[in-house]
Parts: sequence; structure tokens; C-alpha cells
Amino acid sequence: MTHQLIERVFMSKLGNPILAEKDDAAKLRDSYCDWCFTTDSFVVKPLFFPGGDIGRLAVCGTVNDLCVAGATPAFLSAGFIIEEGFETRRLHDIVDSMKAAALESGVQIVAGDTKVVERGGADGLYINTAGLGKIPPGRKISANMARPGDAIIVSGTVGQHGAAVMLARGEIPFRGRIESDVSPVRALTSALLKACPEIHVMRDPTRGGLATVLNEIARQSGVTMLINEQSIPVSREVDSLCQLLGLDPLYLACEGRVVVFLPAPLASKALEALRRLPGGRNAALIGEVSGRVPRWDEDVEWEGARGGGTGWRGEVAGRRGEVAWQRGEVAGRRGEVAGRRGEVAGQVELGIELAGSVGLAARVGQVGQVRQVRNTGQVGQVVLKTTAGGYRPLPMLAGEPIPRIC
Amino acid sequence: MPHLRKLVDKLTELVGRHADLRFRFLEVCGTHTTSVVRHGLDTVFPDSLELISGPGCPVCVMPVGYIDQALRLAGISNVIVTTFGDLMHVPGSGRRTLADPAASGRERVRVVYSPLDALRIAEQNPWHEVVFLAVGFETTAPAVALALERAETAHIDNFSILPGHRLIPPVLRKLAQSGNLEVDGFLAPGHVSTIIGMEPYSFLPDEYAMPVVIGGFGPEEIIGALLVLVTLVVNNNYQIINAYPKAVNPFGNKKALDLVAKYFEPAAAFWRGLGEIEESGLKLREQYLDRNAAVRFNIPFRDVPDPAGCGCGSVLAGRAKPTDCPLFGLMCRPEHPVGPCMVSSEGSCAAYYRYGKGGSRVVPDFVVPW
Repeated sequence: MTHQLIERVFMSKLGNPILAEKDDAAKLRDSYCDWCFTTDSFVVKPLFFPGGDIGRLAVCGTVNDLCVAGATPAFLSAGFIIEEGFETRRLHDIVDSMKAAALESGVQIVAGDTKVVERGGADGLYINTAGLGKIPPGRKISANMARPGDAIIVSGTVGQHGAAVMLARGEIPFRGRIESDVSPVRALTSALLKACPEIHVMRDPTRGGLATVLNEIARQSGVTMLINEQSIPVSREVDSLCQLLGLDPLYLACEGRVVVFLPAPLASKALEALRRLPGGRNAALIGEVSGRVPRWDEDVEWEGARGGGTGWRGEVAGRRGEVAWQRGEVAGRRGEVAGRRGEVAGQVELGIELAGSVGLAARVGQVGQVRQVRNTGQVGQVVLKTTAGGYRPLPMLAGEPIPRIC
Repeated sequence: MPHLRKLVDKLTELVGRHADLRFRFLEVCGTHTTSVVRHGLDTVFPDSLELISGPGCPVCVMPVGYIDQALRLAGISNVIVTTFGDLMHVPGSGRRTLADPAASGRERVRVVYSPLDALRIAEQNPWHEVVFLAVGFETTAPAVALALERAETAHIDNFSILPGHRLIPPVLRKLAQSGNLEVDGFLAPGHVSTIIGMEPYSFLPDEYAMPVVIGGFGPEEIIGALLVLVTLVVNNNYQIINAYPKAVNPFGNKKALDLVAKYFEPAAAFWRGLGEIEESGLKLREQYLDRNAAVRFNIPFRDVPDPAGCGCGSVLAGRAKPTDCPLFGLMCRPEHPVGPCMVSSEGSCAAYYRYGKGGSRVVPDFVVPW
């Protein structure tokens, strides 16, 4: 949902070359120094959870976004939106843990803002932080840099933060305590960059978890990747919680982990560097980038006899994941079918035959004028090799995961 | 899990020894379906072994009329409707859902994780009427009975339920009777069996010559259960085997059954796609009839046809695969579902869609390093 919102509202209206890079942090190039700039808002519920609180999260979240861009975090700003009547004692606790987290990650909070809204206007407390960091010249780490042959490494167990917060809400009958992994990843990223400066991609798998981040990288780099489920580190508590509720740990958020893509020969060096650190003891090689998929970079909006619609150019003829498997020929023709701006998308029906799959039938009859074609990025696919040795796509999920009934 | 791979090899070998036979099994429970596709088991099974998903998704089998009742309840001004999350997005008539802003105003619909949470909401809101949408199979019925018991003893009178419980053995009988279900055996649901035990399935081997194996939900447990099923079929041995002994007691959970029997009795009930089935639902006993929200607020059940084109009925009856449905992945997707099978986390359509069973098999075309 958020993903669609970003594409269709924010990117289309506010888009510019820097925003279009779609990384966790924007890179600002200057004649003498490269800066990295990012912002994030924190609305976690509850405000305090095992392993951290909203204050620690607000500092670590922004610091980590800078770190994974390859930057050295330096300055932070903090904005507070406080509901009238919020206890001062709790605010003290939260700001104390912000101070501790800032110290831990070597940043200073140098600008701030406070707004108090009337009771009911906010749910307790929201925090926004923005961060500035420096990037050494020549460092190019970006989510569109993943290349076939890259090894994929994750720095520790996944899903702890998501599981900890879910439990802390107290809605789930589960005995056991899970601590959030919220912490700055600065030590991890700087050790990694020191050991292997050739790193292609670093990301922190926050919202939507590991699976979502891998999908984003696959799309932005236009690659297919194969992930080995068996080697993904998951703590025993998180695993049993997920089994109980029918959830998948790969979609639960992490707040102190890094996913790294780097040329395969360097993988053992990177793992060694990570495992030496306290936050990277469970680092593991979880997969590899296996191939490149054709570029699919246009979002098509059309208007026809039976109403209009929007879709990816690649998607018009099928679902996104599918395109990757059909490869060259079919994919190529699908794109044509959708047409360019101003053209009549008259051959849509032909598209069904070409694709030979379920994708397009719903859009039969939606033949009409293509109103707009936008550049939106690329499509890739993530394939999971399951513990049983089978294969399935590891998709991007829409909406929050729902626990099962029976 | 090298152990798991060994089990897969064993199953392949066993099935391979009977190359002339085809094995079709009905996995009754939606959690089985989800687990199978989530672990990619369908991509490692031999081709002659086929699993068909059955009616075991509690949200999916609720007819449109039930959702309409819930929507009408949510429309009453002092009523708070409480429900499991899955039901929120199931469309009723006119594709309205409980998650629609009109229905789910700040207080009107709340998601809970257990009927006792709903009871707690009733205690905290004495000036509101709290209705719990009691959907589920034998597994969740005891928890509802427990909530009713507490409501009775503590005199929490503003708590009622909309009974929607369905029972598994009667629907299996109906499927077996119908004759157009071409299966060689049943993979019976582990969770339901922890409550009812093994005996209620005995009519399947006795009257319909069908082997039944009760299986757990992990990949090893599913493959283990299939190994037993294949062995039974090969030997023409029709009986019930408990392949999930760590959770299922052969005689079930007597305490839970007694509690359910205190408040409920079996009654005819409507199932999506299958129509009305004798003794397949739970209704409140006469003396607790006031706890039935449909009676309390005078909102009777009306049988409404399923949405046009929706294949949920055939999927639930094991007659079709989700991908056979003309709406699958097109009109009907998790973001805008037409039928409940695309909504619930246990729905076969949702599982098929999420794990990319859109027709083509997902097998990578590159060398696998592991």
C-alpha cells in the first residue's frame, strides 16, 4: 500500500533526480564533499517495548538509514509531536534513551522542534528525526547496484523488532519475551566498508522485513535473486511465535540489521568482519543474485470504453512477478501492447494470447487511449528455496500480516 | 533441515514404486494448504501426487448472509462488533466489508485475538452491547463457550455472539456423499482433531472406504502424514491413523467438548458453495438463546447468492483449484477480494496468489549452488 502511495502520489508530483534514486538516504553532491540526507517519522505503538522505546528507535532509524548509504552519520534533528497531557516522566525516559542512542552512534542532535496538540489529536507521542552524514568521495552504494553474481548477507537474526512490538501490544496470548534488536548499525557498516569497500548495496530491513527489502532491491536493480530459507538466521523465540500465529518472520521488521550485496568472492571476508562484532555474531550468507531481468520501467494509465485503470507497463499483461520468468520475448511484446502516451492501447487483447496466462483477461475491453506513461523503476524477482528444497516466489505483501484463527 | 529433504526423498521413492497409481488427497484444513505452498512442497512432490484443498478455512465457508448479518449489527448505534481480523475484509452483499469506514467507525468494529478479549471489551463498555462474531471450527468453539460461561457467571449481560461455528465431520460426509470428489484419502486437520479426537472420522473408512490420516502443520509433519496415506492407499487399508500424536489425543479433549455441549447443540447450517448441511453448525441451546445476537437484535439470517463468477464454492468443495477460477488474480486479488478464499490467511486462493501459483511453475533457470 505504502509502496503504491509513494509511486503514484509522491514520486509523480515531487519527483526529481535525487528522489528518483529511491534509496534510504538522499545523496547530495557538492564540489568538495558529498552529503547524505534522510528523514523518518516514528509512530510506534506501544512507546516502550522490550529492548527499547520510541526514542531509541527514532535515533537508530535515521542513523541506520545514513549508515547503509555508506555515510558517516554526523548530525540529527528531532521533532516531537506531543499529545496534551502526556506524562513528563515518560518524556524524560524517552529523551534519555535518545541521548544514549546518539552517544552510542556518535551523532549530535543539533536542531529540534516541539508541538503540543490537543488531547486526541495524536496518540501519545510522535517523533520525526532527520539526519546528515558524510560520504567519502567515490563511494557508490545504492539499491540499484545489485549485480548478477553478488552474494547476499544478513548481519543477524531477522524479525526481532517486529515480533517484540507485536507482543508488547499485549494482544497476543504468547508466553515468552522477545527483545527488539533496535540498535545503531554504525559499527557493522564501518567494519564492512573497511573490509570490503566494493560493497554494491546495503539496506536495513525495517518495515516489511527482509522479504520486502529484497524485493525493493530486486526491482530497483532489475535482477532476480535466489534466497536460501534454511540459512536465514531466525531466533528460536521468533520462530515459535511465527509458527503459533501463522506469520512469516521474513516480513517482520528489524531495526538493527543490515542486508549487504557484494561480489561473491568477498563474502567470506565480509562475514568474518561482521562476526567479530557483537551485533553481527549471527551474520549469514543467505543467497545470491542470479540474473538480470529486462527493464520494466513504465507505469501506464489508460482510459477506455469500460473505464480506466493504472498498471505497470510490464504488469498490463501479467502480474509483476510473472514477467520476470517469461523473460525476453513475451515480456518485450507485453510492453508494446500497453503503448506509449497518446497511442491507442488497441492491442491489449493480443497481449493475452502472447502472455498465455491469467494476467490480462480482466483488462480485455479496456482498450483505449493511453493517458500517461511514467517512469517508475524496474521489476525484478526474489525466489526462495524453501527448507524442503522446493521453490516459490518471495513476494512483496500488501498490508499487515494477519494471525490465523485456528 | 537435511531431515526434511530425506523425508521428501522417501516420499518420492514410495510414490515412484507405484508408477501406475495416482494419488489424490484432500487436505481438509486451510493451514495445510498454506503450509504446503509456503514451504514449496508442491514443487518437490512427485507429479502423480496431488493435494486438493478442502473446506477447512473457517472464514471462507461463511455464507454471504452471515457477513450481511454482521454488517447490519455493526450499523446499530450502541453495538460494538468484535471479530477475528480475517473476517474484516470479507465482502458481504454489494461488496461491503466490516473494514469499510462506514461500518468500522471508531467504536463499531474491533479486531480481537480471542473471545475472552471480546468479553473484556463488554466489561469495559457497560453501556454498549458487545457482539462477538463466533466464526471457526471445533477448535475455537471451546474458547467461545468459555467466554459465555464467564459472561453467565459474572452476569455480563451486554455480551452476545453471532453463532457461526461449523463442524468438520458433517461437511466431510457431505463431500464423500456427493460422489464427484475424486480423492483417494483425507489429510485430516490436526487442530480440529485435538478437540474431537479420531472417532468422528470413522464413517470415512467404514462407509466410503477412504483412509484418513490426521496430520500436523509443519512441513515434516505434512510429509510424514502423506507417507502414511500413500502406504494406506497402496495396501487398500482403510483406517484412521493419528500422525500427529504429540497434539492429538485419540479421544479428543473431553473437557472442551463438554463445555461446548453445555452451551451449543449441532444444527443445520449454510456453507458457502455447499448449501445447507445437516448437523454441521453449532446453535445456542434454548436457555442461552438470548446470547444470540441475531435473536437479541432481530437480524435473521438470509441466504444470499455468492458473488457472480466467484469460484470459492467450488474451491471449498475440492472441485476446483484456485487457479481454475476465472476471477483469480484478475478481478479477485488480496487488495480487492471478491470471495473470502482470497482474504483469509487460511484461504487457498490467498495462499496460491501470494506464493505465485498463477499457472507457471516457479523453477529457476539457473544453477542452484546449495
